[in-house]
Amino acid sequence: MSLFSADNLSINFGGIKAVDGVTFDVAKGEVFTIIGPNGAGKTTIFNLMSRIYEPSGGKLVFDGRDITNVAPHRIAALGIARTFQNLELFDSSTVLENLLLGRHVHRRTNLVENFLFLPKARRAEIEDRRAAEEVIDLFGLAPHAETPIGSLSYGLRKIVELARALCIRPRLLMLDEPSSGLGAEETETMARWIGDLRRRMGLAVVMIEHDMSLVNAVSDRVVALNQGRIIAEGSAAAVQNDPEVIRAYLGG
Amino acid sequence: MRFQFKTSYDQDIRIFRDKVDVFWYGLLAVLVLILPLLLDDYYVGETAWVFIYGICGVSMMVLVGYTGLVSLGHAAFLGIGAYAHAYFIQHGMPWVVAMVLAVALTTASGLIVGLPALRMTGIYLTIATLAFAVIIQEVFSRWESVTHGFAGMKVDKPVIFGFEFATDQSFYYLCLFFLVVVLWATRNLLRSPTGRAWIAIRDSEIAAQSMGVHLAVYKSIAFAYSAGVMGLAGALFAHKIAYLAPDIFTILLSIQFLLLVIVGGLGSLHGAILGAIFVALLPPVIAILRDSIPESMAAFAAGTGLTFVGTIGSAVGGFLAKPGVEAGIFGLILVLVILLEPLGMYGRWLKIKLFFSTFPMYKAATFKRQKSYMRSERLR
Ligand SMILES: Nc1ncnc2c1ncn2[C@@H]1O[C@H](COP(=O)(O)OP(=O)(O)O)[C@@H](O)[C@H]1O
Ligand SMILES: [Mg+2]
Repeated sequence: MSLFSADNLSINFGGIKAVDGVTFDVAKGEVFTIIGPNGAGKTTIFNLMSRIYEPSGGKLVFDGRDITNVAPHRIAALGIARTFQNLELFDSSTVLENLLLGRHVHRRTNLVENFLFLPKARRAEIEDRRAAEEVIDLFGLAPHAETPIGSLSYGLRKIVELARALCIRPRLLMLDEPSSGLGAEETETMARWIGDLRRRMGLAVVMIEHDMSLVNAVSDRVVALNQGRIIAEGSAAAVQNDPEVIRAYLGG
Repeated sequence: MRFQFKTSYDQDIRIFRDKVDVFWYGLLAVLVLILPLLLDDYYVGETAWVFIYGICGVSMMVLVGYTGLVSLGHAAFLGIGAYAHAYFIQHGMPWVVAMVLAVALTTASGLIVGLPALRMTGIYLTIATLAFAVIIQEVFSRWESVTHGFAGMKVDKPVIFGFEFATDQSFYYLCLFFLVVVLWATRNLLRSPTGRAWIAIRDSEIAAQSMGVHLAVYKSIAFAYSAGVMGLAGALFAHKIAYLAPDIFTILLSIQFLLLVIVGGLGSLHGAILGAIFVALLPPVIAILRDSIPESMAAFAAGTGLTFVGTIGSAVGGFLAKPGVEAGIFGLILVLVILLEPLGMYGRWLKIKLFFSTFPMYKAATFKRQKSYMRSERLR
């Protein structure tokens, strides 16, 4: 049974069909990759899945539940986490503080308990830090835990964003161009992480990616998107050799 | 060099990080407690202003500095708190009850202003708060049965549980008490999920949302809390100023509050206090300069025979005495700070501290902003 499915998903921006009847599903523990030229509508699909954009048609189902009308801030609590193409970290905060935001959906204290910092709030803070620290250790970020994001390298920031998403303890992870801005070596590290996460935690991953070495290394299934439509679907190699995909990349 | 060794998560959560922190804040506490014994009444009174402005600063810092919502209408909340408190006292309510009601009322009004503001961002929100403040000021002058309009409203000294805070010294401690309470409560919110959600909203709404932060709820909390704290400051303000009139709660005062947090340094409670010291002490400093510059330069001129020095002195004194110059100086400082020191006074202090604590390894780029792409492009 599929964990997530998009059925005939569509959105228009002032007459432009950015996503046009896209249908796919993602199984538990699967790495599902979306490729396609710039402006194909890949990030828009993510924004639809995050419920940041309102679809003009179609249906989203997660874990057997229709989430087409769920409020955007409820998506994380369902178990769906994401990263962003151009990084959306909390720049003035430290790595640890960023990761603690990933614990927001697991908070157990209310405003009054926070306001008075009652013992329960203290215990919750300690528990949150313990959970965040686990993820910090997993990614070897311990030396940077107290470092503000502003003084980290781009590659490290990408890792921090991935780590922050994991603090949600998601079942579905959306990665928007995890290798963009990374060097070859850092991309290899990223590939190892993605493989690891799937293996260790049984995460389902939806990934948007341009770097074909990364796509080939981790993907179970690949779709190619062009002008808001899926034009090919299958194994990484099959999709890359599809004549229509080649034409889309060359001609646009 | 000084390293911080973390031994437990608990240490991370504490208000004071280590023994060195405790020492310095302890010293500060002692100093602040004995200050009224050392200073003239006049300066004790001025320092009470610093505390009241400090509470105003915390209010602004929560909304502007931590949540990233810029308000130009906070004088209205100060006014609502001040008038409500004075009104309730005049109608025979015990001081504590009047205070609680005043705070509750401003909190509620903050919530009401915040609700439509949730759909607005940036400059539009700021203009909405400005419009709100203009309307409220109009209400202060028209609703004469409550505010007595331009005739003004006299406010007596606070009497709490039978004790009258009649002297400058006793009122100083009252303000200090409330400042400490507000700082403590705000710090509590900041070190818990509520405060982290505020900061997240400020830095990236889209990321905050995808981490599960309900934007409307947390923006409303920030608005309500900020207004409530401002209302508390308003109650103390009413006693301090002793006479309320609608033309106190002007846009200029709102601008001064904004100046306070920007000069102090956005995004830190230290900044709120430093900014309060600055804003509260600038007018008396200007007054002192206004009197002392002509005098000292005239004395210098008389001593040396350089008469032009005396002329310059009296010209400077005359200029400083002109109406509106104070607002002009505030504005000039605001512009200079934004241009030269966007991190404010607290940011400057952190740089100095970092420079010495990591000497000789200080890296000039530590505080550089590293964002090179446009916000509007980040979604795609
Ligand atoms: N908020 C928006 N408003 C208008 N047009 C948008 C918006 N978001 C995306 N688009 C348009 O949708 C198309 C697909 O964009 P996007 O999904 O970002 O492409 P990519 O596949 O490179 O991630 C582009 O033409 C883009 O300009
Ligand atoms: Mg994209």
